[in-house]
Amino acid sequence: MNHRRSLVIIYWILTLACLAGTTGMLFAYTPTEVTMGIVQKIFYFHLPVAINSFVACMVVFIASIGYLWQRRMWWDDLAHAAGAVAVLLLTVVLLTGMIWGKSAWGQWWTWTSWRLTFSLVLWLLYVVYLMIRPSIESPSRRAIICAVYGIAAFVDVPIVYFSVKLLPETVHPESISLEPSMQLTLGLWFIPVTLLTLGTIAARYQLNRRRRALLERNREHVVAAPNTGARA
Amino acid sequence: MTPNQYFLFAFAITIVLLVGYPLYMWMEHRSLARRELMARHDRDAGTAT
Repeated sequence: MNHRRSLVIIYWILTLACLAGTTGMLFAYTPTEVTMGIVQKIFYFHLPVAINSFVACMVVFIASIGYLWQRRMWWDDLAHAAGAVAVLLLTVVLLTGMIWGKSAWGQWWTWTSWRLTFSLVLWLLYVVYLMIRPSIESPSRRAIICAVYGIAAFVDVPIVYFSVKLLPETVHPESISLEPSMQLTLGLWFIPVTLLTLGTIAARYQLNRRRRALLERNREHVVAAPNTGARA
Repeated sequence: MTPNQYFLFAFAITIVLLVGYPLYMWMEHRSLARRELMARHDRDAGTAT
């Protein structure tokens, strides 16, 4: 247990060190883009967070299939954890995108961009995913309904990804050409953001497991000793 | 707002959310550990929380 705790601490120290390093690069090393200015630097964390939000959505999708296949509750706990992280990351993507939009295009939001619209729909889908969970009391029923919903919600991820390529786009760029130092910064930013995503999913998953275990232990105790005045 | 302020605003939001949520998880783990301990005491005493 202590060995595992040490590994977790090392993991988070490493993650924060990577984040500090890439933050330093962003401010001190990466050149400022000529036309857009310093606002273009939002791109270095906007893109990694966006890609990692897709990863979190994919974990929900895989865990949902896993639950329907094996009917083991740990799949549901994993899907729930990844769903919460997906909402967090999609919130960051939408907020940073809106700030970029306001500075670069002069508007916080536009409905003429398919990518922006489908990104908002994706965020709403996973917010609803988190909202329906506590509304279903039976754990097995909740897990089945959320698994079906988690699979259906994932359909929007390829739509968001390919919308900029396949549908007429007015504001959101399909790709941005970067010079080598900018490419290096962008590539390195993927490391802390991915570590944060995976670490947070793992932390939330462990929390879900412990909560479920505590609830089941208490329930078993109440069932085993119904006449002791025990409370659920 | 100036472009510099827009950038710093976006960066601050990203860091606060990405680092704040794991910190919240850590506090939840600690809170749960206390509840587990209390539940164990209650079980030993013959009651459940």
